Amino acid sequence: MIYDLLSYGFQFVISILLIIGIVILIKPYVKGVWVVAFFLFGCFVLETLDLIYRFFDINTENHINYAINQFLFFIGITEIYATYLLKVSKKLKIGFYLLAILFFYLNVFSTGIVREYSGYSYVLVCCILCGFAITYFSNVLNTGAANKFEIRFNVITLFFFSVEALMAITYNFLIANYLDWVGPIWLFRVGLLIVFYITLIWFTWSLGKNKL
Amino acid sequence: MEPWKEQTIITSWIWMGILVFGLFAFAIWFLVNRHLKTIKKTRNKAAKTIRESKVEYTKRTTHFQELDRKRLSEELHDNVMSRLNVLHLNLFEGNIPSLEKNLRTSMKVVRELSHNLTPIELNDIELSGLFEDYLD
Repeated sequence: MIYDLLSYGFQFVISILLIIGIVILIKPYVKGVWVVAFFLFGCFVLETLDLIYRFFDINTENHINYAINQFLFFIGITEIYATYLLKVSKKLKIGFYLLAILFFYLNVFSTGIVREYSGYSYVLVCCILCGFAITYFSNVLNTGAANKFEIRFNVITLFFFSVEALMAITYNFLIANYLDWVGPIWLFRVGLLIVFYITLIWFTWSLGKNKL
Repeated sequence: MEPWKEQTIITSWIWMGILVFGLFAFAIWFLVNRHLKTIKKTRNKAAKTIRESKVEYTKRTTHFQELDRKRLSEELHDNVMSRLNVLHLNLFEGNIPSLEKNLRTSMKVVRELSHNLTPIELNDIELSGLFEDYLD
């Protein structure tokens, strides 16, 4: 019961945080801020939808929500890295987008055994996103140029998506077992997600601040 | 049920995995920060060395200019002035042959002094020209 209540609270906090983030970022003009703003807006819509589904006990839409969430994170974070942090070639970007569409299709429309394993595609997505963070650190070690906001964002990205990969592997266990056992893990994940959003907003805000 | 399928064990493994990833992220953050600090330190040190060498260069240039000035004033006083005095004496006595001889010697002294002040760059002049100049 307490975990359920806490998860509602956290989801509400996330929605408020995302709205505040969008308002903070749209006000000063930063090149490419719309990438982050769209990403945050997408996350806000998904969180709100999830909250509504939970209120009205609609469980059938969960897997679509999960698939959209995965798609949004893959496309959004790839675009954020390509805009601000890394030089991602056009071919590679198109490859990632096609992969994202393929995973989305498999998550939503596949049936039977394919459906059972399509959930693991998120592990690959997380590995790719962790790869972005590691590539960024490798670039920093080579060039010696970085700022603290970028480093914080990349460390949290690396930590969050490695934990997400672990949770995607154990997804079936985490949703099928008694809440007392898995509740703290989900809450920890939500806490980490809040930290991730804060660092993303902070990082994008710092770009505008530096420009001004 | 096999022992590893127990809830407590799986949950513990998940927490341990989270801990390992956390430590990994922390280690990367720590190492990258330390590396950046080292780079910053080295850059500051290099900038300081460049600044110090510039100051030292200016100091040394001023010192050598002072030395050169001192040498020039000594040359003017010891050579040129004494030659002019001799010429003045010759003129006063009306000794024209000696005056002419001393005038030539004085011109030579002044030319040498001028050459010492602005050394000829060997790349700009041919060897024959250098000899001719010397014989004059």
